[in-house]
Amino acid sequence: MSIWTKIVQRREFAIIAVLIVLVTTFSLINPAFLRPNNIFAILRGGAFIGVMAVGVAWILLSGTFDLSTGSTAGMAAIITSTLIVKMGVPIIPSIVAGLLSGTLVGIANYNLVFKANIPAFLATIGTMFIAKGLGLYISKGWEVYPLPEVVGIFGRAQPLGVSWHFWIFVALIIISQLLLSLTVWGLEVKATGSNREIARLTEVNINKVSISVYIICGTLSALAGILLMARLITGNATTGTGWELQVITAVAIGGVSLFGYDGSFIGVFLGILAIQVIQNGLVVIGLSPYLNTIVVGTILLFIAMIDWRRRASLNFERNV
Amino acid sequence: MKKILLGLVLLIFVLSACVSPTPTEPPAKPTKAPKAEVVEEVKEEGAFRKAQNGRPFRFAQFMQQHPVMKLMSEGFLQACEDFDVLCVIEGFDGDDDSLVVSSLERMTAEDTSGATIGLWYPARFEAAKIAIEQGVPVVGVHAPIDRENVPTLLAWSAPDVAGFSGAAGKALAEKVACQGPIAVSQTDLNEMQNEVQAVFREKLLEECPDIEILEMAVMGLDLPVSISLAVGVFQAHPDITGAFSSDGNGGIYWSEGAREAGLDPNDVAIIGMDYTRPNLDLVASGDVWMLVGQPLYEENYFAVALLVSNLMGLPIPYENHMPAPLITLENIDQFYAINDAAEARGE
Repeated sequence: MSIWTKIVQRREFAIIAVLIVLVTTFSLINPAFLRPNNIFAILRGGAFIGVMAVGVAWILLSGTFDLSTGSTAGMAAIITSTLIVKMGVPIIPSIVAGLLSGTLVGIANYNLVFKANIPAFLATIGTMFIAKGLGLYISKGWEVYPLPEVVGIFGRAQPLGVSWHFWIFVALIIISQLLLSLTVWGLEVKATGSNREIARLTEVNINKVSISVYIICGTLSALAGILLMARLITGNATTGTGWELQVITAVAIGGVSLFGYDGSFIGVFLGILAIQVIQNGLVVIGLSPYLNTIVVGTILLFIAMIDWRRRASLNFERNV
Repeated sequence: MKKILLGLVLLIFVLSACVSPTPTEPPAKPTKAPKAEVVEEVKEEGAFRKAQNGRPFRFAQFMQQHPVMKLMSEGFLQACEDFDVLCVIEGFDGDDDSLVVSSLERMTAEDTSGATIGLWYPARFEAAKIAIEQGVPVVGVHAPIDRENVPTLLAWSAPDVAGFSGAAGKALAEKVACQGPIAVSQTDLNEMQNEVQAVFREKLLEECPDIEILEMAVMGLDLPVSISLAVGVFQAHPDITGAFSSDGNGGIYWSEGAREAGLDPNDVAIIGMDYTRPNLDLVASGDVWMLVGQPLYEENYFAVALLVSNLMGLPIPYENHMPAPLITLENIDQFYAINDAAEARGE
């Protein structure tokens, strides 16, 4: 196998190739695209859905699905901010309560999908509505505002030019990649995602794997909502609205299979980065807003096509 | 398994009951509630409620969690209280046309003596006709509606879109002394925001024929992304002198975007939209220079007044323009009062 073939068959090849082309094109059209402040803004902008994407990637790798993530983020932001602002609870316990609310959603999702045997798609749509409804019920639709200044200081801080949210995202990517690549549990997640029945027969505790990925996903979704709350110094039930699909898109174009087993967290990082680069770049070069979404869709399809060809060629070689 | 599920449900309900805030103070009256002279001639106490005969007025409140819609609700509820009439808010999540249609169908299935609804998308006209055909008087709010579009519509109350957009253009022209470039943005490419931007651009160019106005930036509803896009615009054009947005988040993303791009938001004349509390605070802090105060509260308050007049058989005007003042530090207090009242009600 040639070096070129090896490179092309890397799961991150498509996304890296397209990122190089996009960054080059945008910076040639408007050099301002590569200014440090703009690069930092791109990195900061993607951190929130990035944190959520780490959880969603674990879920997808284990062969299941979660659509409740965006609503969980909104609910956690409302619970945390309401505890702080309306009830005078100290910040740390409030954040813990917010995170726990996400954990509870994860446990509920696991029970609905694997104990009550409701298809993951339907079960997590159900919890999506419940989580969103709880956020609305608690906030009565109002923004919970303003949060204490210390929250804003954290939310607006720019360590090394970016933000704490971004560094938390990077830390989660590194930890998750190490867990996936180097631990037995990581292998078990992939095995469960490949084929649950075979994994069970090879003594993988598939229930333990499934509940752990749902807990991770719920908790990280809540964390994403709380981080955005800190950034905007506001709790809002609309936080996370529409993030579900953005996250799944980013994770999928990052090379994580929607059918389990295949994927990496480096790919997740690149997928989030690609979405941000496309959105930001099209505005910086001043593309007409009437063309903007067509171009976004075309680029995403292009990435998907390259990745699809890579997977097809890998399958062909395996079959040969 | 059952125990786990039961425990979860209980925990979630306990949690939500614990953190649900209960308003303790009575709502403060807004300082600028619009007068409803059309109904002042009816003096008999309880006359309006009696005329309703148990059939409430209803407000079809889509996007019920949106801060702007909450202010519209407050206008509706305050008017209901002031006129002593039965009222129900038909709230639902989302902004989908099909949801609006089903909400209006539900209204017509129940006893209703009048309805108000935001009719700023032409697709909503057909939805309004469903209720009207069933005998429910409907007042459109927030957008003017040509008679021929919904001939049976009772009336509308809405801001003078061309008026406030032009006023914003003129104000910004003076503020930046015709020095550009000017950034412009909207949430998406909807009809009302398109019109706001078109009139703003026309007026700005009329005042300053040589000023550079940048390509429209469509920012979406996801604030972190909007802020990141605003940074991109400031990077591409670091000499921006002013920014105008026709959506309620504009003040936030333009001021935050300027800050993240290494600029002082005070150095950019930012005009945002809507007197929600976070936006008012941005004006108070100096990060945003001006807000366009769309009459979110006033238009629905007046819509109830129109429904009451109709109920009493009084003639009512079809077109009702509500003033949309430009809000700066000088006149900000009255808009805080509206927010105070709405938050105290806790609906």
